[in-house]
Amino acid sequence: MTVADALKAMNYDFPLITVVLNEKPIPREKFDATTIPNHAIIKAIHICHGG
Amino acid sequence: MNTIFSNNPPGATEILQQKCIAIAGCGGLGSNAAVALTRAGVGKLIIADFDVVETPNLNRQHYFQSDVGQKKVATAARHLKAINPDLDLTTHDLRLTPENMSPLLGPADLLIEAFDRADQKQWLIESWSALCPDKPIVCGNGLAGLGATNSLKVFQAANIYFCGDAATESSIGLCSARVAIVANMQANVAIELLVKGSAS
Repeated sequence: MTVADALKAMNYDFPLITVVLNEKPIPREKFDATTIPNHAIIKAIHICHGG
Repeated sequence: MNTIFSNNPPGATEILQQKCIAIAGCGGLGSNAAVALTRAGVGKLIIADFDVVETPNLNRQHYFQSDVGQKKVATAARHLKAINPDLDLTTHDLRLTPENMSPLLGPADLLIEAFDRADQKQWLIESWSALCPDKPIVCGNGLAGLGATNSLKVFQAANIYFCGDAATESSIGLCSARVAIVANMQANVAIELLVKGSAS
């Protein structure tokens, strides 16, 4: 399963999202190419407008 | 030692005076975070913004009626220097990009993300994480609306710290107190990271 697959499975359809896989940030352009290893910890954060 | 900080927690001033924090954006988050960091005794700040102060900014940004029409970084610099004249302050009156951020922000020990648009927040997080993976970036994320104070949290992923509710978008409005809370959460996290090496 890739990062993109995981986001789709979780219905994370936020237009802007930061993903950290095993404490390593994954750039958006690599979501399709990054495979999630077994027992990985993945964090997905919705990025909001405002500041 | 500057007596401005004589009431600081013991040991904190000596550490903070040696540190450099960059702040990307001088709006609601950046202007308020810069004030808090200056008052805390951070020795060096780098601030960057391309914008000018406008009257609607005054509902949440640390500017005054007399600042309207002036460049944000120049105005912020005057206010910060009025707090601590010894502050080592570098200002960049420009729009940050993935291409120019390295020499401008790279010298900092920590970056405060204070942009307005989410797409800009995202590229800044990704670019900083690639450029300086061992240095923290403290982001403002979800600060719109009123009240709901208990929904404002700090969430950590790798060296990225998100302050806010991770849900509200600026389209619902931005209010002074809530924006300032998140900005000061960012400053507080930054101070703790630099003084203690980790944030609770």
